[in-house]
Amino acid sequence: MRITPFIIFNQLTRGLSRTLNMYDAQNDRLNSGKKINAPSDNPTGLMRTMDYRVSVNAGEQYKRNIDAAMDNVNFTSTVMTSVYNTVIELQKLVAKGKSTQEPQELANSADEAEAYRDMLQDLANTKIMNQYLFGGFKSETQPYDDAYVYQGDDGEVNVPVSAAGAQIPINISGNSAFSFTGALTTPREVGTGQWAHYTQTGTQVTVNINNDENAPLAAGDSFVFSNVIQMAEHLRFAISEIGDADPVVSSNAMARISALEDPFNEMQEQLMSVQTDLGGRVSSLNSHAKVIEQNTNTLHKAITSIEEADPVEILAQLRQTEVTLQALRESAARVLSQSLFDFLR
Amino acid sequence: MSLLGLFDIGRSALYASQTALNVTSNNIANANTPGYTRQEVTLSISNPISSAGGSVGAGVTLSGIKRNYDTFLQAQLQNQQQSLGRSAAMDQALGLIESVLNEAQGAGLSTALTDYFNAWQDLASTPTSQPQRMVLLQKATALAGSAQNIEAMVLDTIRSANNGISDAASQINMLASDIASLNGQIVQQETGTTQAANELRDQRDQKLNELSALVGNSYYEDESGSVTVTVGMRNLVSGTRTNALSTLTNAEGNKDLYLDGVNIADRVTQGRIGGFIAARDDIQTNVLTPFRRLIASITQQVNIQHQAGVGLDGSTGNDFFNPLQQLGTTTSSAGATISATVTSAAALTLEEYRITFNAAGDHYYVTNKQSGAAVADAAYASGNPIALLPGMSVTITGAVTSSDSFTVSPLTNAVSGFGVALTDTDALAASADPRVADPLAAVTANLPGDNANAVLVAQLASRTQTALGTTFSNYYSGIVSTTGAMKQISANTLAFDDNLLTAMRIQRDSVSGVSLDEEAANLMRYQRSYEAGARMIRITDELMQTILSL
Repeated sequence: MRITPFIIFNQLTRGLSRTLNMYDAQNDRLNSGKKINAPSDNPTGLMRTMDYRVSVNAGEQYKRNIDAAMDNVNFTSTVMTSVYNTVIELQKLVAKGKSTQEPQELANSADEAEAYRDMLQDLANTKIMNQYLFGGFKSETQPYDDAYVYQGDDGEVNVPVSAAGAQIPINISGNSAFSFTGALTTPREVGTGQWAHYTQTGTQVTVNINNDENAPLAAGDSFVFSNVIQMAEHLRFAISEIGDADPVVSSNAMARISALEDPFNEMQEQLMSVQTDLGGRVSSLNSHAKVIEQNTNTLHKAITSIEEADPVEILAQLRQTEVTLQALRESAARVLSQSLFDFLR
Repeated sequence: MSLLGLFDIGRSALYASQTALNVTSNNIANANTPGYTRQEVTLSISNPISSAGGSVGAGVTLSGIKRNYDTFLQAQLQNQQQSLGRSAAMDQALGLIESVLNEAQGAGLSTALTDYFNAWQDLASTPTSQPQRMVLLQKATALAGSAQNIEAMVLDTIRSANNGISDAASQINMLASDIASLNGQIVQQETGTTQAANELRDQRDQKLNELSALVGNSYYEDESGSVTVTVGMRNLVSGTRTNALSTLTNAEGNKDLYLDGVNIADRVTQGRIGGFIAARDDIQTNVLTPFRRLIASITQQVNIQHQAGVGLDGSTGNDFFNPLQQLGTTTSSAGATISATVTSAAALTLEEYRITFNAAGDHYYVTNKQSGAAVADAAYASGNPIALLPGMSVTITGAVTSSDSFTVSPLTNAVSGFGVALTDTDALAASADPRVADPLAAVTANLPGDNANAVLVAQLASRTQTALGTTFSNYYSGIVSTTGAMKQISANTLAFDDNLLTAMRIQRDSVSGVSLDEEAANLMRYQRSYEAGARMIRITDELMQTILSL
């Protein structure tokens, strides 16, 4: 084939342009540290890294959800611990109340009971970030008013913590924390010939103290409570009535105090199971967090393996390209600089 | 053979060498001219004279100046120019789209999309928080802004492609008239002689090359030397006449190509115009429409879920995003009009439909505009609603013909109308509607602490959507990946076409290109023969002197 110098010239310029293109692309990769700088570099690879990134992002969001939930659950647990301790103190007062006491001691006990009652009300009305902790969905209404009646509802706020759709409740409603259902059934002897009968509908417990062991509804002294704060109030009232001059009143008061012993025991157990439940939630949140962390690590590794450029490899390629460029330029200089005209006389 | 005959022989030698030197100098001067074909003198023996001693040569004649030209190579080169023109245009357009969606560099929708649904998750953790609600509205606005930016840039690219088509069309018209006038000149110069009009032919070849880069064409030369060029099976240049190429915007907003009154847009596949048409169609099918469908799906699904929830102010049934209300229609008909409204945004299947008719104009056919699949067909009566298209009501009024067509689409305005409809943070429905579980409950029963609806909206991000076949994020990364694949293919095709064209150019240059070394050698050769011829004349002159001084 007949070759003219211009053909060679064109080839050389194309070669130079092509080599410079390669140089540019390698530089790009070195700068960004990534093998994929545009979707066309590796379309399927980019699709996978995009999907992985979406999963990583979702994991980070679940992590945030878990942290927020953890805050709530931990705080609730702290509050419930205080409630538990208060109930223990109330149980001591019940024990003291069953034995004879001096009037001064009685007055002190009554004051203590009042203080514990108020403390329980405060604890039940705790706020976190300006929202009531124990109100269920009614987070802006004070859960326990001054009649110690529950104003909230049983709403459970669930928060998603995993891509599979697992949700963890982050609150406990007032009824679950401070009331109990259907636990007291056995009548109890609370004084000579006096029996306390317990009937429960929903969270409301009716205590009926009469002389008949087998007749729960026979006439007698009865009182009602729905939650532990009301129990504390009844205790305070009963203690204050012990020293009354009227022996009937006084004996009723003593009976009431004895009748409160079982409910307080039940409430103590209830509180323990609430704490266990909260502890279970914490450990569940922790294990979800761990799973997310592991998944995120795996995904990061996958993303890196698809995307990341090895600087050493690129530098080697760059050196090669530089050598090619130099060779082209030298050869161009030699070939193009001369023609037959240089040799004609 | 007379002595004077020697003068003639010498003279013919001088003349031949002189012409040859002319031609060689012309070659050297035009060595860098693009499209120049190397010329050579063809010398032949002059008719010999019979004489008593036998035939005696009478010198040299110039039988022609040959143009070193290979028709076959030239035709191949033209074809390859057309391919290269197409590849270059496609690569250019797709490159623009790729940079709009370059997720590898952080451009695109992905971040805004995940941020938006993450804001719903954060709201689920603290449903009553006003700052969190405001953040959610901000993220939603950011998502809308991002989407609209992307659509605007895609539409821009399509517009550039359309403009590229008109620009190329006007250039083609100029080239066509140049070719036509060259035709005239060549025919004039070549009639009656056997000499080819070398320079004019070179010029015309150059114009044909430029034309091929712009549009796919085929040409042939007739006996008179005039070239007929056809584009899209219609004559562009015929002799000295041309037909003008024009562009008209069609019902879809795209430029169609008209030659001699006929729409040739779907016949042109090569050249720059062919590339722009193909790129434009690819972008519309694989990028614009799916992107619109994605946004429409997000709008539709978020609205459906949000309407089911209750806001802090007790309101329910509110749209979060501006609802899909506007249907885009196009009309390609002289006598009929179309009106279409959305009856139920929740029922829309987010597909685009085309309605065509039979020859008698009494039966209509509804097909899916993208896939061509048949959707419905029934008897057509003007003013009656078209067969149930989910979520919309379509009516066509007027007389129709078989060439009429209409399109209806819920996607056309999906992105341009995309925006946050809520302004009041209290209307953000994080709470579930309690009346679903208990019809007698008050609608505000679960306020303010319920987050169940916020959780459901947040979980939309991981749900497979029927209209898309996958999740929002996955569908979007499919669009990006398809764009990348298209660009990768076009880049490879461009490189291939470029290499092939270069190889052909080398072949052509091998035949027609000027080599300075060769020309230098020729210069020497013809100079020597000129000197020899001149010497011959002097010798003859001396001989004459000898005779005359007898």
